[in-house]
Parts: sequence; structure tokens; C-alpha cells
Amino acid sequence: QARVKIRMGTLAPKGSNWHQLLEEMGFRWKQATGGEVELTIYAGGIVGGEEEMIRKMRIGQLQAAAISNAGLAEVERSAYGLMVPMMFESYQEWDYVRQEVNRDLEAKLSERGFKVLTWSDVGWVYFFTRTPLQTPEQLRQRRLGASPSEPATLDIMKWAGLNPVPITIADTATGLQTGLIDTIYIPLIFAQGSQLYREARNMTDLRWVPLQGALLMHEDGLERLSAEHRSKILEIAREVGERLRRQTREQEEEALQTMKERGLQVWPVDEPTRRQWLELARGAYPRIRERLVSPEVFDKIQSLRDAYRAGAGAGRDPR
Amino acid sequence: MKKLQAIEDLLSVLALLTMALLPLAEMTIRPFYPTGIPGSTLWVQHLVLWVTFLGAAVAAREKQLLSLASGDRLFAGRAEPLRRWLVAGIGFSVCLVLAKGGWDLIVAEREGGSLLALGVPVWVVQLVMPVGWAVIGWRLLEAAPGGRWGRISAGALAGVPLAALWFDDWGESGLALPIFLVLLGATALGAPIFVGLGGIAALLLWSNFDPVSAIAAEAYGLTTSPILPTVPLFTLAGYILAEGETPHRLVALFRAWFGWIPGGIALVALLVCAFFTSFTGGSGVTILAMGGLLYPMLREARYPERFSTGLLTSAGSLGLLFPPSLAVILYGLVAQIDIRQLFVSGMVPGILEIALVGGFALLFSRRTGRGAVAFSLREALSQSWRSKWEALIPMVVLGAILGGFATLAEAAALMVLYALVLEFGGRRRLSIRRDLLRVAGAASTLIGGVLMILAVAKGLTNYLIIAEIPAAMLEAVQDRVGSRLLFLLLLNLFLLLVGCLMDVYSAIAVVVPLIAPLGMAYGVDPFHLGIIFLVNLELGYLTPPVGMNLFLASYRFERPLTEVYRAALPFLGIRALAVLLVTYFPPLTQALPRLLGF
Ligand code: NA
Ligand code: NA
Repeated sequence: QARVKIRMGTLAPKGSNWHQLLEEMGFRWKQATGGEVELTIYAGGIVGGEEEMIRKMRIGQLQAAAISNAGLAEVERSAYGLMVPMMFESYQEWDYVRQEVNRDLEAKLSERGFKVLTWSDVGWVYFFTRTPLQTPEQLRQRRLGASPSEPATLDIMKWAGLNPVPITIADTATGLQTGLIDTIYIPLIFAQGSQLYREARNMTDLRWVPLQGALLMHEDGLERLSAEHRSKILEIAREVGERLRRQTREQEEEALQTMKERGLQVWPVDEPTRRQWLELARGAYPRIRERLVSPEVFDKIQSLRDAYRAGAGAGRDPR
Repeated sequence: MKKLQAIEDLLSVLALLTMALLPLAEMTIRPFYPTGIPGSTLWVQHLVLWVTFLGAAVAAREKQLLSLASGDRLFAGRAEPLRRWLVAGIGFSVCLVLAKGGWDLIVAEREGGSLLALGVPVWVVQLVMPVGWAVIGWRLLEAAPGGRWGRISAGALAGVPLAALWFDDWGESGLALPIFLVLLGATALGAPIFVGLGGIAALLLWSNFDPVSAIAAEAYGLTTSPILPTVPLFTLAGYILAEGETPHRLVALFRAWFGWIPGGIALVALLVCAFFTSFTGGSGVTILAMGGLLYPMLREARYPERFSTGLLTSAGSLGLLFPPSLAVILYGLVAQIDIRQLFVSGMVPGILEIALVGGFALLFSRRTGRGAVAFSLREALSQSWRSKWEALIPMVVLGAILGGFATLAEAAALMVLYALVLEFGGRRRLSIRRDLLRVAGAASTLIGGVLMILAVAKGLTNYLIIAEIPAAMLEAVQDRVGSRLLFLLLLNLFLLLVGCLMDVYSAIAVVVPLIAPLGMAYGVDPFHLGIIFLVNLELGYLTPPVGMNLFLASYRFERPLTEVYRAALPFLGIRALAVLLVTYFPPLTQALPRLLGF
């Protein structure tokens, strides 16, 4: 059998945790298939952003990519169901729901020609601001920057009654300095990695939405493998995905600690204010349900979460 | 036919003007309705894609696609038809290959079913790529001599690459090297630069068993990237200003202040050139647009012919480091470094270049004894008042950005509006009925030509990255080059060569991904590297035999190329000195950013 080369793109910087684990996965793929599967990793976004990596998978230049849920949603809109603001409070209930929902998502992605090798986490999205932010009322007065390349995430903010200013990632640092925007919402780990927290030195202690990631492979690439090799690399990928998830969650703590040491202020949100935030987020639910996701998917997610809160997770710590 | 062409011209101008108006509308309504116009940023980005392909198609029709053009002069007499036949056939073949890649991309995107905004599928917007390349290819083919049979035989050349794409296993057939040489030859003989770059990119991808549609994917990715709308917008603004009253007023203004100094008129020419290059981003535009105004002014002040030609040829690339220069923006985009810091890093080197060339001009003028005009404070002040709106131009852009009113793309759009109001309204030098289509049309042809080069050059970069060439190069260089100084010296020579052979835009797209990791490995500060790159590249424009500025000057001043070579020589020496200072004395680039707290 001929050797199969698999090219995988990722935004994770060279030498980062993610990159190292992916390299290790490639090594194990090679071992498990007697040297027949060879993985080349293009790290640090050198083969383009998520949208470009997906495009290159479609034309057959890349076979695989590490993609966040936001990128996935561009392929399959129902993925937005897992990005509903303040739907989830803890990793426990998030894990409970996503395991179930991701199974459906895998089936839908497979209809579009993509196979999910494994799921993992990017972490919680928080608000980072130039001046302290604690209440939804304050946020309504702010200039909230949001990426225009994902129009749906902008829409979600609008439906919640907020006024997002479309601003590209490239303009974000400058925009924060000049006052074009004063608030952003990004994954905690990204805030540290991109150093954006230095322009927005206040963080609101409110988990807005969890962001997951996936190792995605195009079916065309997968078909070149024998059934035996396919199941082997899938098994290894799943194991690596689980380790990535654990590491990311630990890294989140470390990143927060580092940023605090370098001057990040974290602003607590008390329970009554949290309820106000929840009310704000819920304002967007009807339209997310009807226009973005589909009532079916949305209701399933909500009832799964409620089931967890009622049963499996009852008596848990609310945070 | 005439009607179709008029529609084509109108479309390309409309796309360009809409690109300027959308961000302005967005800016205007933001204070009242912060969410802005739905998807406007996305639409503006995709208009760049259309402006690129429409502009390039018009440029192909008008035979204004950028080429090295040196071949024009080499062949004469009987060999000339053969040259034109070859250039037409190769151009057509490459365009067909690119169009096929574009089509493959669309088929793949259709299956994927991505939507842009307002329910418009992405592939519909991308249709402009295969169609545009096909039209350009046809227009290049039409230039083949020998009537219908000339065209048919030249067009038959396309059979080779198409057969190669059909039979995949030709990849190892040893066909690659001969085709590569033919492509290089055709480019040297006057085929458009984008044909050479696109052809080589397609060839390399094909022999690496990669899809040729990667070029279309990169072209789409680049032209729709968020920062790119600034390129066409600043160029349009520069064109409007250059066609209007601004050059005359600026010359009068600088003349009133500096004309009394011995050599002051030369200084005036330098400053005006630097000002315009920073806006139009290409030294070419400056030479073409300003040459006609400044050359007579220098001659009138009794500067010798050769000195005047040399000064203006060299001055065309001064100002490439000052905001809002597109070269700097594109470098920052490709190298993924902060564009503002790159601008700040370039301030001192940019001023140094002007000071060195200006100093030389002053020394040279000592022989003429005194200035061309007597100084009068009253005249200087009255000229300042007369030209206040022109002098304010840089403040408009910087004020909008630093004041937090606008993003970079919006500031560029604001600049277009300012130029439009100033030249069509206030100064009434241009009339909307008579001039708007003409000026915007000329701008869109140049924009299309430049962005097309950049788009296919990105396809070449795609190959370099996929084939992991930068990593291999890094290893090879690190094995052989031990010290940082030696590395910098080799870098200077390499960039000089690149500057001779490539325009600034393709050089940025192709070469930066190669040298950025090298610079990192040798501990060269990325901003320092960027400024070295740009200053060094400018030098290449003045280096015989194929410096771009030399050709343009020869064309503009109607002087033989050899005469321009000789005229530019002393200035070449001075610019080389600037390159050395910038390279080996890092504080020139690093002190100011540090002072400003970057
Ligand atoms: Na130049
Ligand atoms: Na310069």
C-alpha cells in the first residue's frame, strides 16, 4: 500500500501545547501504521485562517485542520447551538450536553464531506474591557467590538440588545487604543496569547460562552486509508483530544494567573447581577432558536442541560 | 462591442466608488446606530476581489498590465512578430490554467454551500475569478500577430498545460524545467508580470501534485482580507489628487518656503515626490504623474538635464516608508507584525533618505550659486493660506485613526472623499461629468494590475509554504552562514537582486515569508527587518538593467534607457549608503518606537 501524506493546518503557534500534542499524534500515527501515514503540521496559521483552511480542505490541498466551533459553524450552522451565550455555567454541564449534541453535529458534518477526528476545548469566552464592567446596563453603553467575518456572532449580540461594532482582529488592538471600541469578548487563553489583555486590562468574571475545537479531516483524505489504519488513527486522535481538553482547562487557570500578575483586574459579579446578565443573554434566545440554529436543535440542547441540572448534576456547586 | 466596453469601464469604476462610500456610510451612522450596515465590512472586502479582476481585465484590454517591458527594445525588425506571438500564446495559456483553477474552486465551494451574507453564496461572488482570467487570456491572445491563424497557432500553445493538467502523471515527466524556462523567457520578453508569476506558481503546484485551484483560493483569500481595501482606496485618492490642483499648489507652497535656498528647487521636487509616493504607494505613479510637472520646473531653474532626470527617477521611491504607504501596510500584513509600529520604525530611515538625497542636491547646486527665487515671508504665508486644504491632507487620515473615529480602511475611504470634495468641489479643477470616469478608470486599471500580481504571487507563496521551503532554506542558510553580520550582508545583496527583478508587491508576497523566519533565527528585530527590506528594495528599482523606475523614467521623460542609467547612477550610490546605514545601525529604526513606548 502506498504511503499516505496528511497535511494538517492549525492556528496554534509553533511550539505551543496544542502544536506539541499534534506533533506527538503524528508520530503515533506513523508508528501505528508501520510508517504508512505521515502527518505534516502547518502551525501558526501559515496556511490561513479557519475559513481558508476549510477552503483548502475542500480543494484537496489540506486533508485536515484544527478548527474552532466558530469555524465549524461556517460549515454547519447548527454548531451555533453550542455557542448560545450563558447557556452553560460549568464544564460539567457543558460536557454532559456537548457529548450528546456533538454526535448529531458529526453526522451533519459528514454529509458535508468532513469527518471529526476528535473534539476538544478552546475554553471560556470572557469580556475584556478598558474600564471596569460589571452590569449589563454598563455594557449597553459600551462600544463592543466583534469580528465581522462571523456575521452570526454579531447577530447574537444584536439580538441580546447590544451594539457590537464590526471590527477585524487586525484592527482590534488599535481600536482599543484609540477608543473606537472599548470592550471585546474573547477566549481567556487567546487574551493572553494575543496579549490583547494589555489593551483591555479589566475582565468581568462571567462565563459568556464555552468555545470548543475539533480536529477535522476531509473524507477524501480519509478514504485513502485502509479500514484498519483508519480506526487506528481515529483511536489515537481521540486519546490526544482528551489530553488536549485536560491541558487546556489547566492552562486556562495558568493564563488567568499570569495575566493577573501582569496587571489584569478581575471584576466579580454577584448573584443578583448574574441574573440580570442571564436576562440579557436570554433576550437573544428566541431568534437564535428560530433563525440561526433550528428549534429542534436548540430545544434539544436546552432540555439536555435542564436534565443535567435536575438529575446528574443535582447538588452541584453552581459555579 | 463599444457598448460592452463602456459597461465594463462603468462597472469597475462603480465597484471602486462603492468601496469608498460603504465605509463612509458606516462611519456616519455609527454614532446613532452603532451596529452599522449589515455585513458592510464583508461587502467592502469582496468588492476588492471584483475591483481586482475588473480592473485587470480593463488593463488587459488597454494593454496596461504591468510588465518588465525590457523585451520591447531588444527585439526589432523580423524577430518582433515572433516575440509578440510567443508572449500572446504564453499569456493565453497561463490565463486558461488559472481560469480552470478558479472554476475548480467554485465547484468545491458550491458543494460546501458557504454563504457570504444576505443569503448570497460565496461561489457566486467568486465567479469573477475564472471569468476574469478567461477574458484577460482572450485579450492577451488577441495581440498575437498574423491575423486569425496567428491567434489560433498561439492559442494552441495552451494545449500543453491543459494536457498536463488532464494527465496527472505527467508530473514526473521532466516537462517542468523546460516550461519554467519558457515562462521566465516570456516574462523577460514582455509578458505581463502576473503571467510569469501565475505560470510559475501553477507549474510548481502541479509538479508537487497540488491542485492549481490553490492559486484561486489564495487570490480570493488575499483580496478579501480585511486590511486590503486600503490599497485601492489610497491609490484612488492619490490619483484624484495628482490629476487635480494639488500638485501645483504643493509645488507653489514648497517653492515659496524653500525656493530661495541654493538647491531649494531640487528639495521642493523631492518633498513633493515623497508626499505623493506615500499616498499612491508606488514609485511608478509618482514618476508618471509628477514627472510632467517637476521636470520642467527643474529645467527652468537651470538644473542640467541629466541631473533632473536622475533626481526624479530616484525621488519616485522616496516616501515609501511614510504613512499611509501601501508597501508598509502590505509588509505588515504578510509578516504579521503591527503596522503602526512598522510605520513608526520607518520614520527616521525615511527622513534619512530624503536628507541624503537632498544634501546631495544642495551640494550639487552650490555651483549654480543661489536659489531660483527670492524669499518673501508675505508670499510664503499667502501660499500657505492658499494651500491650507492640501497641507491638511495627512492630518485627515491620521486624525481620523488616532481620534478613534475610523478604522484604517475607513480612514482610506475618508481620504477618497476628501480628495473628491477638494478637487471636484472646492478647487473645481476636475469636473464630475468630464473627469470622474477618466480618473477613477485610470486608478482602477492600475489597482487591478497591481492586485492581480499580488494575488497570483500569493499562489506562489502557497507552494513555498506547502512544500516547506522556508524551513529548508532556514536550515541551509544556518549551516553555511555563521554570523549575523554576514547574514545581513547576504540579505542586502539578495534583496538588491529581488528589487531588480520584482516589483515591490510581488516581492513582499513571495519573499517576506522566506526571509522572516531567517531574520528571526539570526536575531534581527522583525521591524528592523521590515525597514531593511523596503529600503533595500527601493534600491533595486534604480539598479540597471531591470529597475522598474528606470523604465518608467525612460518612458516618461522620453530618454533612452542607457541615458537614464547614467543619470541615476550617483543617486543609486547615495541610496546604497542609506541602505547600509539602515541595515547596520539598528537605532535608526528602533530608537523612535522605543521612545514612543511601543
Ligand atoms: Na519604490
Ligand atoms: Na522608503
